[in-house]
Amino acid sequence: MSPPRPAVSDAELCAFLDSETSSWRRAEIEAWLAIHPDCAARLAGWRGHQRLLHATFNGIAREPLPDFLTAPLPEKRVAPFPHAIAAQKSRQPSDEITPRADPGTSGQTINERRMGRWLVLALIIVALAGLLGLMASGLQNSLARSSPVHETR
Amino acid sequence: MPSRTEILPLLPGLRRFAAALAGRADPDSLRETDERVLRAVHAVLRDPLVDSGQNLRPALYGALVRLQQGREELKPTAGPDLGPALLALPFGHRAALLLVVLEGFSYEEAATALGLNRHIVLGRLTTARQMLSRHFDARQTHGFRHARHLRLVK
Repeated sequence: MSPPRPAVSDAELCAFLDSETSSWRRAEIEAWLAIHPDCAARLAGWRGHQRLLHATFNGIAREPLPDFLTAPLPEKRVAPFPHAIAAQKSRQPSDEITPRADPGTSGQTINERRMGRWLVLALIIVALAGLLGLMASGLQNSLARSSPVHETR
Repeated sequence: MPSRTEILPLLPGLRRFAAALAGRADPDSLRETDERVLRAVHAVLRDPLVDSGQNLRPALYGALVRLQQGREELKPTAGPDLGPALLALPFGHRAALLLVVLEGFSYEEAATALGLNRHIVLGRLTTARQMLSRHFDARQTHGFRHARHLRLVK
């Protein structure tokens, strides 16, 4: 007679076999297997699959590698990703325009660099807005100054 | 970009995995799976997100799985039992099983390679093992004729 709900599921048995079970659960499963020969037999069957797979395919991993597989591999580490190079190039001119915006960007992460770029953009916008404001107020002043001159003349 | 010394030690296992995923073990069909291995290596070398660190192995195997997906050749040559039994498994289940059982991936690594979470990997492994058991049990009880019939039906 099998119990209505098995305490150790096949999934747990599977994780047990692959050593992906917590240590306390491991001991419980071992105790369960000792009194449930059907589960133990299933586990033995799975171990048998594992042995069969290794016996069948391990020979391939022991063969020497064919030349056409090893030839195209790069000899040594080639430098960084293309987008990292692009980011570095685009950063340099912006440093020249506003040197105090981000001093010492050499060791920064990509996120910090992005933030730096946004900061530069924000500064430029603020400066432009300020300049516009100045020009506008200058125009008003000159208008205000020029109108009384007209009146006196 | 990963270098030669980092990729080379991974190639023997990758070849074994490619052959097993296709259910083939004879030397003649290795050329075919080797070409897929080569394309997987190229795909990883082109991928700017793959560094030489921990994600190289899952990335290589993952690229191979994606290259083989949907390109099923139903000509198993890996023994009279194992080849058909492997190819009877759904592709994703076979990939998960072989990553963990043959290549010794942890569930976490297998999940990274397949773009799944750990629970789905465990579910696929469980189902794959149950199916393999059923396949071998059926072969034992009904004899070779039945196994051949199963192979023809596939």
